[in-house]
Amino acid sequence: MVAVTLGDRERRLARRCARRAVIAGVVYIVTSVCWFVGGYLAGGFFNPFALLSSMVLGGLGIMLGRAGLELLELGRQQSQVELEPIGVVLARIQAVRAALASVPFAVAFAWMLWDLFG
Amino acid sequence: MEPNPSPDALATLAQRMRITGIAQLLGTLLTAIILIGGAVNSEMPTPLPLILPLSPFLVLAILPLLLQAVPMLRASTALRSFTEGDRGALELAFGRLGRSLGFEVWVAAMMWSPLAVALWFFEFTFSVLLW
Repeated sequence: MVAVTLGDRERRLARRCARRAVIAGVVYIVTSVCWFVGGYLAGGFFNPFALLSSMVLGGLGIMLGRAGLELLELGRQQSQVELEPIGVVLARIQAVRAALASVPFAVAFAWMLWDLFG
Repeated sequence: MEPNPSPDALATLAQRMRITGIAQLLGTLLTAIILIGGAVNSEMPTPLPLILPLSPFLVLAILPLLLQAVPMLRASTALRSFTEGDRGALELAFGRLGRSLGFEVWVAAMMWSPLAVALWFFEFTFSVLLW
């Protein structure tokens, strides 16, 4: 375990990270609903891509928001704090963010290839 | 702020952040290829059908992805410096993480947002009017 005592500036920056993570989480949760509704309105039917996207986005939003709350707690601590648990959560979220950046467009690319050669 | 004498866990974290930052950059590249390809060829299937021809939005869509991945990579570098004993590096890492998360909010709001829903709805309404 890596234990550190955060200075004032570190604590302030950690709280800023936490606030942004929570805001991003909430935005993802809200937009996951909007994405599903938008898919329904545009397609006029139960759009599986919109459903899948909204589920992924909602899950990511919840994970991000929870990590933000944990980081907020870390920023509030005055004594020595352990970075590893928070870091592991952040790393997991980063992995999901990376996947999210790639997967929908990978699906679109696969769809294009299917249209061309299928 | 005193780093632990054996900060292996933090080094592992820095490595993971570097890998995910690189993955985000690759995702951005893929996104750019698909979006630009879709803008050039309107027949190309894509999850964002209406947005593709709008080139300013194209830039707005790709830019935040890039702007969130780069600080992530730089935060991993700062964390690695912290594990090597640079005490000021943790502050840098938190600052860069915060910047990356700030652009994450932008991505969430721009790429997957009510704006996209509104555009989809507009497309739907427009197609009904045309019909």
